[in-house]
Amino acid sequence: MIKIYSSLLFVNSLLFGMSAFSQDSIIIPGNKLPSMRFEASTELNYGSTNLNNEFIQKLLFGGKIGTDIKDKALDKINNKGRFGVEVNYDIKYVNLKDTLFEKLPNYNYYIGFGSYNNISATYTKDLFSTVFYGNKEFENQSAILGRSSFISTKFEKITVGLVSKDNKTSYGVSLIIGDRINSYNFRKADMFTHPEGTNITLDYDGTVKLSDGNSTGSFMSFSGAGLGLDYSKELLNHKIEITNFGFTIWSKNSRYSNTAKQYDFDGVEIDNLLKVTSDELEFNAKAILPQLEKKRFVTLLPTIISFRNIIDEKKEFQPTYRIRYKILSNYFPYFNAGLVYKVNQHFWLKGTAAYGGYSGIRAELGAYFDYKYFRAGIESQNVTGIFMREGNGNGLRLYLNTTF
Amino acid sequence: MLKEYFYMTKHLLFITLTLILLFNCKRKEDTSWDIDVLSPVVKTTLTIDDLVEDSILSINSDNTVDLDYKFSFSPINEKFFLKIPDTIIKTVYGFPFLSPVTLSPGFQFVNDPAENEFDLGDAKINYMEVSTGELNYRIESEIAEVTFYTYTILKTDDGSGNTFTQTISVPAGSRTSPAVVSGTFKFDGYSFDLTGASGNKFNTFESIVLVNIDNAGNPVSVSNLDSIRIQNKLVSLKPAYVRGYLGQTSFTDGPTANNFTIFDQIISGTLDLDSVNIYTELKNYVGAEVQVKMKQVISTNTATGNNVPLTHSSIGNTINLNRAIDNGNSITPSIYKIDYTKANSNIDLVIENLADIMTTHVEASLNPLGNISSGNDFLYFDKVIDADFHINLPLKFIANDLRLRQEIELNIDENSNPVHEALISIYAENGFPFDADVQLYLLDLSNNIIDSIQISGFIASAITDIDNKVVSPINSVLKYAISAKKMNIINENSRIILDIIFNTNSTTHTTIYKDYYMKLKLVTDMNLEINYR
Repeated sequence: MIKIYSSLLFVNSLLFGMSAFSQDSIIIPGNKLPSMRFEASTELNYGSTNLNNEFIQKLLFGGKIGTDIKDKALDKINNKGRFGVEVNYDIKYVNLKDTLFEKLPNYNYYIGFGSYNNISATYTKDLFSTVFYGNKEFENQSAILGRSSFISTKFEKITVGLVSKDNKTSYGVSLIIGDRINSYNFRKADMFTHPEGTNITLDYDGTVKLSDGNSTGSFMSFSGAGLGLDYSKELLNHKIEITNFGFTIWSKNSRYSNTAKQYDFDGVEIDNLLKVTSDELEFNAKAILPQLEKKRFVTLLPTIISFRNIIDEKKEFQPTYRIRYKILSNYFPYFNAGLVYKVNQHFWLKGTAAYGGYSGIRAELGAYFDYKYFRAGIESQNVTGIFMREGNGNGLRLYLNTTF
Repeated sequence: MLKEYFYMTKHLLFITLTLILLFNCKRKEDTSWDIDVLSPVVKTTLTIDDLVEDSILSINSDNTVDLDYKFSFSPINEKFFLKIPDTIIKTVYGFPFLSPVTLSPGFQFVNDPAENEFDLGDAKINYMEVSTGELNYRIESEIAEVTFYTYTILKTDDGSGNTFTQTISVPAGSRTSPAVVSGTFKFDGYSFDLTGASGNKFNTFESIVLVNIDNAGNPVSVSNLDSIRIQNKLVSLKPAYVRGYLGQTSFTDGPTANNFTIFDQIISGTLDLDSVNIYTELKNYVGAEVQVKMKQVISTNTATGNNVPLTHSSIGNTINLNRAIDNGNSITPSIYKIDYTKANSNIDLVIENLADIMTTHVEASLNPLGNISSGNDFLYFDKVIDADFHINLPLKFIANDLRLRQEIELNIDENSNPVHEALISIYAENGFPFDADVQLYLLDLSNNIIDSIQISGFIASAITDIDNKVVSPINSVLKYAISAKKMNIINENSRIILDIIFNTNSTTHTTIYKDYYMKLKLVTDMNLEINYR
């Protein structure tokens, strides 16, 4: 499957693309006014500042992570490592003839659905070592595991919104359906392994937020619910988009811990060695962990803020750039910049250099196609990751826009 | 327009297929990697409470510890006493009419009271309460109309004042094709007066059979050629209680090899006990005199093959047990106690043999003097004769290479055990006045020892004073390595043997006190695989 995925990235990146283009130029043949528009997009990307693609692919898709690739990953961590996976998709129906509010005659309404799945982590070198090599190398030393974070979240949204007839401004309100959040934020976690491993001391200060453990976290599982806002605005040939600004209330069997504590672990206490059961061992082992209380908690949505220039479709060559940030997702601010080349009346190519998000410096390619009432595109957000074994991520964005 | 829509549809299909491919990335194998973990795993504190079952542990006022062990060695139960044989009652009812006679609806043409006797040998029982039992019936009718058959056992009671009576509908039959009905009635919980109609018989119950033409049927013609045949069979009658004369019976139990668990984990070494108090209690719950003879009691250590027969004046001689007293709601048994001491028996040798099997051979006879109670014996079938062997063992002993063996089922295999190899350290703080050496053996699936794990170090005895009482505990470390090869053997067979060899630290008898303890902590340095799907 990895090969299929990589091949698709490669082939598609040579064919399509379009995110930086404005979307108001589609004309129905015969100069009829369009009555509706469908938009669909999907984005799948993963990356890391220190894990190479072989490591990431084994982590995500299975396989034995050997010492050689662990060593390479460890060498690349300076201060902190970062890793993330995003799988998002959106579909949107825009009614181009009707409006919900008579007082807003220049606005059409739209209905949308989206799904957002994100796993991300930031970690210290010691945390990486402890997880992938074990604590033995820290005998008689402290491993600094704190200032690390792991978040796994998934939610869907159902959106109702308004979009201006010139497509330059839009507002959306969404019902958020929370499927899953597993959030571990270690503000401090200094772990000292005593000589010969007789004790392990942990100076811990952290927060744990977990959604319903009985839920599979699958599609529309409603472990939480919330509200989200979307906004976009075009101004002076630039577009700013704010997606998923809001919150989720996790109340169904959710568990929470915010603890600062010094742990001294010298073994799981068992009452009678001769009669110990696995249940007793498990119970006593869990008692050592930070106590999770059943408690409702609120989390902010991983809001995406994007700012980019708009492409003039008449120019043969022109610059392009974009800034993107995603809050509460261990996401590093993302920048890209490059050129767009108009191949012919229907076809554009884009090449950019990028930095941030979950990866380091990389190249991106995009291809965009526009014919009559149909527009599609594909962007590879990490071309180096496709071709290079030592690449540190992969990314794909597909886009489809059609008008009737 | 159609062409354009076709074009669009084609592209939608392409993108949809691409998305399906992307979102159906199935994991074909687990993600895994190896790590080296150095960590404490478990810790525990062992006291005498942990080492000995609470049910046999007795703490004295001076904090010394005794073991009180009771061993019931003789199953003298109801199977040796009264048995109610299955009893068959067959009856054929005909008509004394040479020429056909018409019977009108509702006419009762059988009314047959009878007395039936159980064959109980020389026992003379006048009252019985049934635990379980049933009456199997079979009726063959040649009467050309529906008949009703009613069977009643008089002087019975279901506990609510109701007599046992059952009515069965029998379909119309003919001489060539009789109607046949069979079934079962349960007697569970009924009491029977077994004194017959006169009230001065025994083992006898009174019954009555009634047969009627169906009230709602038609007149039916019968002659001497027609009949109705009834077979009743009382089967599997198990009494709960009987009263009367139980008869004279004798029986033998054994030789029977009984598991003797108090020392069953000890496989070798010697245990020299300072003292031991042992007695046997015979409790007779039967309302009749009983004579018991213990023909032999043999202590067997199957590991050493050593047998030690108990020698005592009670062995081979008759013991008379008086009858119990029935108080209505309870029974007061008669009790006969036999004390064994070093002076009157070889009981110390019997115990120090560290037996795991105790073989018993017992003879007993009931009512050896005949019917001396004038028919006032009684027997509750759930409580007959108990024969208990009591051992009071003060934990004051000399252990010399006393090896306790425990076979441990680990319930692991190569899929569930992530550990490749490990160096295990056991940190012990010993507050007991004895040394402990530990050995581990690996077993194959046939329970044969195929390998061992070398353990360095031993758990040293605590420091004791002149009276051999613990003054301070001693710390020791045991270390053993489980190589990848040996881990594979463990994964394949999942069974190990743990041997602990004890030696007390003095030539005088060592007393164990309640507050003695041993703290253990297990620390591992292991290479293991992290695995997730």
